[in-house]
Amino acid sequence: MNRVGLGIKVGFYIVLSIGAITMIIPFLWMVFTSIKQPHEVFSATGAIKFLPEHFFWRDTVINGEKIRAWWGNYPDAWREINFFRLYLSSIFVAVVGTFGQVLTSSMAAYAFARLSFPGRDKLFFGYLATMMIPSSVTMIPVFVIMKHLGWINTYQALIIPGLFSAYGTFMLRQFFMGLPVELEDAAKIDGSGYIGIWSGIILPLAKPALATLTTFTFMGFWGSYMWPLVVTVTEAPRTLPIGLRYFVGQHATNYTQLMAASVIALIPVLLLFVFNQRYFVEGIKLQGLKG
Amino acid sequence: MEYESKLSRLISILGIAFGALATISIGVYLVATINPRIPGKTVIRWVVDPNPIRKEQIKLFESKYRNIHVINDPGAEPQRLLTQLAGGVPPDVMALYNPQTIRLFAKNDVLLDLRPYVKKYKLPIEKLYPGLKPYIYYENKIVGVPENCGPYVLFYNKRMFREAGIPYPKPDWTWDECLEVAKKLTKYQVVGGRKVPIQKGIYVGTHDWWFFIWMYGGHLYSPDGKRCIMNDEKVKKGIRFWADLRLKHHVTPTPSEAQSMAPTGGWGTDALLFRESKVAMMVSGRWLCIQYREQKDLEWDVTSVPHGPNRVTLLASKCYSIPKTSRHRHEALIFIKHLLSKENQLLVANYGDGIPTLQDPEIEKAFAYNPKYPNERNNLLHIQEMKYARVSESSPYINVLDQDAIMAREFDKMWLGEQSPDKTCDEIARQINAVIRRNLANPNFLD
Repeated sequence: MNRVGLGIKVGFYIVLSIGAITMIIPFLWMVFTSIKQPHEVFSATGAIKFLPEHFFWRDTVINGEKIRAWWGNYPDAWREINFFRLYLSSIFVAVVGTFGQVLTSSMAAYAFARLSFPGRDKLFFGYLATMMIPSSVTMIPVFVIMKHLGWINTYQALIIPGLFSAYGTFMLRQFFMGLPVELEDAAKIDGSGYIGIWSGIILPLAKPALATLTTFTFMGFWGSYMWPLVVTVTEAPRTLPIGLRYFVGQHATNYTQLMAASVIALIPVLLLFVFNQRYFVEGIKLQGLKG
Repeated sequence: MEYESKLSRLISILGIAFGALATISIGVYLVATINPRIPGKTVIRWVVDPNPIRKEQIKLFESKYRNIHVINDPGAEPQRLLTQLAGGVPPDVMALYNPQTIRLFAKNDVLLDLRPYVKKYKLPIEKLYPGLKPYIYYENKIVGVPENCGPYVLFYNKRMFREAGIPYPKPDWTWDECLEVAKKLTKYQVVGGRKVPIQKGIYVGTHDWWFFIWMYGGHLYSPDGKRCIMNDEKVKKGIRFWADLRLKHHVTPTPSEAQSMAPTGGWGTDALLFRESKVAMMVSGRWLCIQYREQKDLEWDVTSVPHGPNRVTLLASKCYSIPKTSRHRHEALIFIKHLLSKENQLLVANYGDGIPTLQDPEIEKAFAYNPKYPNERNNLLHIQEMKYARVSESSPYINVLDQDAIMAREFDKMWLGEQSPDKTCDEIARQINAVIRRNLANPNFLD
């Protein structure tokens, strides 16, 4: 590699490193804040305190002031809200919702990509058009439907309206259209039906796209705030984002516990991303190429 | 190779089966325990912010009324409330955070008129501060009860005053005196040949227009609300003073200066700048005390907002209302009554994010001095300021969102130097009056 090439490469890495550091700083702030004492979150001297002043493994008293152990905010946050229940609710809603949405989206996408029926493209266009309607517009009608179904404050209300996604259908349809038709023809000759082709040919070939959609959908369900807030009236079926709301008062926020709770809440999404990373990145690349 | 492939497939199948079983088990557990029965108790839903005091308030209430269980339901966002009310799933008691929202709900006939219940439930409406009327009444109906309130005061950084050799401000000071102090407390440093502010004298936000509209006795609206009188000379004089604070004297940060001085931008920038000793004074309310009292390296105190010829400050509160469609009206009324009880008001005094609304010497005494926070010696000031406090003005003939949008847009032009303060006032009056005229001509206008 000549000097110019090396220089460009170094410059490229410097820019990428700056970008990476910029992205990771808020995340690190969250982690460090979760192990601080409440008065350390903000500074009165004009400097942003990034690292905690104290770092003790046990609760310690200094000058008559009790300093909590670094991990103390975690059990406090866990106790402050019904974390266990909220966590289970979030996992249940996100897993079932994601599974359901990926299932319906892949079926719909297969139909729009491969099956020939009158009005298919118009129907697809109409389906896509629903993406243009803001969710706040449909909130009251959907809420009224939930009420008539007797689903207010139930898991059905949290999951079922989110099972159908024009975005997921669109994304998978574009991917499916790029798959070779010959494979399906061969399967048809072997006697496979639509379900067989969808499950035996299309889905195994679409792992990157499915992983991408799974990650996005899971994140969507996991972080959803307004709909679960509107459709629930007691604590029992609520999910974590609403639980985090309990740390934000009208005028004061319990930042240390909020950040501790946020770190705990982040773990499943992080794990999902780590497991899906290989497919996810490939999926993004393919989506980018095939548009 | 084939063995590895089979093993891998087996592990995948087992993993999926385990995941599915775990999800089903979680689901069965969650669904089975979704509605724990509370035998013999009526459950009411109180939609309000989840301040730490709520747990204590509910505990106190439930110890007195053992047959009622209260759920603190956070998220009093209007969008949520409107959806639930429209869908026929109303809360039993809900917090409404400004007179405009109260009017919106009352005008749409959603709120229970409490007049028939005042005597029956002994609601002490007449003992509440008179300035809170916009949080209680709509037309002649009683639609809400405020539990706490706070007039705007001036927070100042004692260390910065001391270091500059400036005496602490007195409650009767004027804006002219404040300006002179603010000039002394504004500091710059030269970076790369450019003067960069490192400290400003006072933070007055770009939306803090009320202090200056009222400063010389002006008003936004005529008494009947049918005319915007922002173009009145008294208002213009106050707005000129406000503009000069930032544009001529540079004692208060511009939005971009504030963004560059605060670690985070957006809402709450003023509180952060003060907390970080980047501004020496700031206009805000009692609620910030509960944040600043935890900040051990910040020496602060409060005094009254400076005044012009007209001594006045802004009042903030919230009210609790009962939707007409509440299924537990009796229990909700008992709860509302409890919120105004002496025991609950003492709890509010002790928590201290606002003044308890019930005028009572014992409650005032408890609010004035909290032994847990002995440094807060000036609490009485908040109560004394209630004499001068008034709520923001609005007209029933223009939606407050439209009003604020017009004002913010025109004031932005003023801050950018695109139009003079006088022209800004004229423009605001012209545009708001145009909307009012249109709405007055529309028989279906409903805020």
